[in-house]
Amino acid sequence: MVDFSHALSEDRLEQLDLRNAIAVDSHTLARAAIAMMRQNELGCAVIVDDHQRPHGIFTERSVISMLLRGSCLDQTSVSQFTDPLFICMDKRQTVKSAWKTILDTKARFICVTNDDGSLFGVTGQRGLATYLAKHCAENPPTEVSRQVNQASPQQLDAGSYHFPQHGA
Amino acid sequence: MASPETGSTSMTNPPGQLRIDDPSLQRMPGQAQSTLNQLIGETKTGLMGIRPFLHISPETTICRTIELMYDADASGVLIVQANQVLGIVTERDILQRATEQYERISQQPVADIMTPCPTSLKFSDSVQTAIKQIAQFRHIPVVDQRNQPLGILTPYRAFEFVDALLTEVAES
Repeated sequence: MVDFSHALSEDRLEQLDLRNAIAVDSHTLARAAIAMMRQNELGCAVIVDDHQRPHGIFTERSVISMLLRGSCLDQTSVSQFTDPLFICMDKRQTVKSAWKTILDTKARFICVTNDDGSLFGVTGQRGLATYLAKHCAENPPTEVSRQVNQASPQQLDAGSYHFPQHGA
Repeated sequence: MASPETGSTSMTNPPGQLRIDDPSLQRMPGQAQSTLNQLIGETKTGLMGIRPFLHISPETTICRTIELMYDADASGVLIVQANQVLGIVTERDILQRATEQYERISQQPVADIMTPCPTSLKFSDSVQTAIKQIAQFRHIPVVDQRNQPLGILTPYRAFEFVDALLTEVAES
């Protein structure tokens, strides 16, 4: 797993399996954006300007807000319900920077941009989860793990279990 | 508990739950001098942050479910009956199954749009198994030996756990 820590610092966002982003303009109606999100099984649509530079994001959370307020999908534009967690990062930034950003903000999505600021792709918690999974190698259990795994749910719920110390 | 119209609802977060910043957890990586990789392969999923989690009855209306998710800032909710997980509803389910006909179905039971029998993790599954699953499913119920719900694992919670281990390994 030292490799994972190293990889986090070395790998760039452009090396992740980025999803093709749904790019919409700010006047796009919510119904149209939602249809694209459903069709592409994506949780967001990125609002871009005429130069394809992102300046907002419409997410599943935006949809929840719309439904709660009773907004009409045909009379509401995506720009009226943008997600406040809008984060852009250059494609050459490290995966670690995205990792830390998500941990700090709980953002689900990160817009990844080219050098000129135009939209390159989208990643986020799903992308990093895939990245993390790829770096998990198989290992046989050790004595430490056997002791840890003898803890019951009740012990853990009660906070009464203490991890064995190495060499103890 | 909520009214009969909306079904029972609850946010489970029992006192004394193991947190990622629990001192007992922080003893593990440095003193064990094990690699993070080994720890991920060896530690139980139940040690990860899987609470609080929102759970509701299958009779809860779709409208009420959305309100509860919004209020709790939760992106997924377990549908539980007789202390067994019947299904799960996430923001994605709402987007896919409820949004376009919301006015017509908002008062229907959430069971109509839930994903039934979701992939679950056992408390005793390894963190490594959990991480592999979380790459495929954003919300995974964690259950005990009797399939009773203990919590929900999300990518964010997995990241928090792994990041704490990374920090400990780096400092050891």
